[in-house]
Amino acid sequence: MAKNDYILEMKNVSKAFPGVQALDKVNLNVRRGSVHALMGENGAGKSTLMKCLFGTYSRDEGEILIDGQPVSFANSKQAMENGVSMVHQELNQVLKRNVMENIWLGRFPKVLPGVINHKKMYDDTKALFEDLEIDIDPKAITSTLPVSMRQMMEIAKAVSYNSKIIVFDEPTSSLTEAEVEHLFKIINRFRDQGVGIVYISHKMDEILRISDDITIMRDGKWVSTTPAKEMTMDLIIKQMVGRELTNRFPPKTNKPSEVIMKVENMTGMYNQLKDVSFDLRKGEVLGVAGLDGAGRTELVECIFGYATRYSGTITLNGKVVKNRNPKEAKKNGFALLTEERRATGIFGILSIRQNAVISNLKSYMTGFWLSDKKQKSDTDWVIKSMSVKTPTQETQIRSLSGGNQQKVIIGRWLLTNPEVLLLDEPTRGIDVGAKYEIYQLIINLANDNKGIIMVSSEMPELLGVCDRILVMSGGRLAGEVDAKTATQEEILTLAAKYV
Amino acid sequence: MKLLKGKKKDNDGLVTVVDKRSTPKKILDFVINNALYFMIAILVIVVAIQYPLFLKNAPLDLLKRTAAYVIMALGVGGIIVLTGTDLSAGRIMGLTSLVAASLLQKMDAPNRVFPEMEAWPIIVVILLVIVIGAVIGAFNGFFVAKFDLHPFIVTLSTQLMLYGFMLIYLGFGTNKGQNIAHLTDAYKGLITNTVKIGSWSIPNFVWLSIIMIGVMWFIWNKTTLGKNMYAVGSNPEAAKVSGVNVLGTIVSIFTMAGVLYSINGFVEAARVGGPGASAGSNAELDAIAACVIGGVSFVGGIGKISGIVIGVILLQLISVALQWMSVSANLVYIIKGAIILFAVTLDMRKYIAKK
Repeated sequence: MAKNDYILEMKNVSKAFPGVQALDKVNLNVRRGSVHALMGENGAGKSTLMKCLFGTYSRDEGEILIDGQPVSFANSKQAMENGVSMVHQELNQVLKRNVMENIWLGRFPKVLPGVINHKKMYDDTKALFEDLEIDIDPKAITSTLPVSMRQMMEIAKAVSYNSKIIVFDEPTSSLTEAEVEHLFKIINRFRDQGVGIVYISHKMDEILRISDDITIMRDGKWVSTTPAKEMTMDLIIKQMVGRELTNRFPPKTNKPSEVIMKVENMTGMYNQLKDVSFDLRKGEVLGVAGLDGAGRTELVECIFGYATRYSGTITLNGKVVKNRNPKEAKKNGFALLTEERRATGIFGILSIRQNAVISNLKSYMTGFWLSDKKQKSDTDWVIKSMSVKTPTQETQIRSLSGGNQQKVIIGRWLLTNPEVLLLDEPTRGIDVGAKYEIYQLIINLANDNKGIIMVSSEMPELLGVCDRILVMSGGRLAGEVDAKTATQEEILTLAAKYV
Repeated sequence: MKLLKGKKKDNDGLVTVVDKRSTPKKILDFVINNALYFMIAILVIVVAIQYPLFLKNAPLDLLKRTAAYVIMALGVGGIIVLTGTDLSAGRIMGLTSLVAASLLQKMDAPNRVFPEMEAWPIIVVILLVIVIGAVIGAFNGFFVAKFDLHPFIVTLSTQLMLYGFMLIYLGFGTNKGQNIAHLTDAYKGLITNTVKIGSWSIPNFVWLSIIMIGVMWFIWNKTTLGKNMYAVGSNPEAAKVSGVNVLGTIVSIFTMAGVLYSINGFVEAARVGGPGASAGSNAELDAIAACVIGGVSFVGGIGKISGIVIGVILLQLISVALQWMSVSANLVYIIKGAIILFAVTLDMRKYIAKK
């Protein structure tokens, strides 16, 4: 192949942090006019590699060529000005300002030096959105838009740099099916125009559909680069994990018995939740499916008293419980694992011990003070029974991987001895191997006769782990399916019922 | 199934949550959200009924008092938008007012900071004072931006240092720590001479303040610096990723604030006639309070010039009205404090997302 077939070449890129070889001679060659998928578990080094490209990190060795010319960017601004842009996974936006200011931030059109040309900014934004068929008002305040629109906004921003190379980092994590189609249309258009696209995602079906080549990384090392046509889902997983994953889900050994909790006519005060009724059995894993904005998170937050209810009753073991706030819900035997682990789950700079015992402090009171000994032994129990990989109890929780953080938080709630566990996206941002452990934990809890509600946007895991699945749509309950017999199509149809 | 009550989902996938509050609750919320304005209106009406002359005489007084304090508030406002605060504002104003006064003293003044020196040309003094303000502001901003220190602690430190400098400065020459009085007529005239409009004699410093309000409005709304300020205050990470010079923005906003304080200091010296060791003392607290009352939020990224001006007017109106009602000065502090607390509570109420 001729050398300049590649628009981006990263050769033998290495980067070490104290104690870790984050990248070890990694290669990534992206052909002009192709979509190149970059895959690997969390911590495999995908983000580090991209940060080396954008100059956020300086690489220890290796070279980067664009159009055959060696480059070395000092920061992301320089990269963008040279035709390399990125759609970040975590939306980094100025929420209080409007859409067009976000798009042109750092490079506002000007009438005079320092003086902004508002009309041009508006017209350019309008033209950009029209070109991409995105329907957003350039003057809307960003915080008023749903996440999916904000994601499309970021995509438009990346495109607006007239880039030769665009990196998409998990662009579809908050998009609906229709929006994913829209995004793929945009990606295909740029591919046809000769843009080189790096596509990072965990969603294998997407990868297999959109990409031309697939590069897989593991533990900071390059594993393989293969044309997508020759890859299968099993092959990808095998290369990513480095071993055969025969079963993605543990055997379902739990047996649902009598009803433990009943929810009737639940409507939210400040959210879209409307008239939801269902029941949950002991030893059951009840899934909640639905599109973004369907009200799944709102449902568990309303049950837990974190969101205000407008109406509705909750009955636990035949007794009505109020759950007016999380403290009361905890006392009544409920537990909530929140969706956004970093924002509402962990206390990043605090130790594992402090994170583990925080919901259960009352039981450590001996007289007027807290017993250190009991806290330590309980934390030991959490680490052992959840098999948390950590050097000590004193380790800051933010230094653990996502999967281990999640285990600590599940452990935190188990210390309160709950009867009903509400798990909101328990495996989000966790890699394949750790996911299996979390699934096993959930099934073990069901075996212990707990009632479990599991919210997830990944349908395969709902079908693999749950007994029944509730499908939400537009804030309402659209239907209920049996996880053993249901198909993804069936769930999707229900999810679109009230859209 | 299009008969959705309680919420609707339009074609863009935007979920609009229909307001489920009852009508009395909505009215109550409206009153609470605008309580400040209702209160001020009631205050004015009550005072006007008791003292009919209030409506005739108070407005000019209010205008002058607002003009005297608004420039500093414009400076602090920008720093609050960056989620910061500036405790050194009053002392920067104090020091610059001393410098201005000392360079523009009459030759026959009994106490002189520079006994043998003629008064300088006014324009040179103005430029010097602005440079002093800019340097101190940049100093603050540099420590905040470069070392990621909280502005509270940085400006607390500079405030102390500046007070020391002020006391040393007052001891120069034959001044012996006294107030620097006997300013030249040209200087006093430049600030306090009036232009008659109708029955009102409006002093020059009021016009200056109006110009500064206009300039700052332009900077906040129409320039890169202004937009970057909002962006950095709202989400510094996003600003950085987008290629905004975050350090430069923070230093610029602090420098601009320093310039504004020094202009206020230049005005203040001539307006009060003889600044001394207490010049500018605690002025920053009034300026911060005015910003907050006017809706510049400590959350960051939120605030308008119009809000700051209204905040200063309201704060001064309270003082003027209470004066007319002959409320004791001790009580005025209590009332002012209560009103600031009330204003901040209302402000936060708007940003707390209801769950």
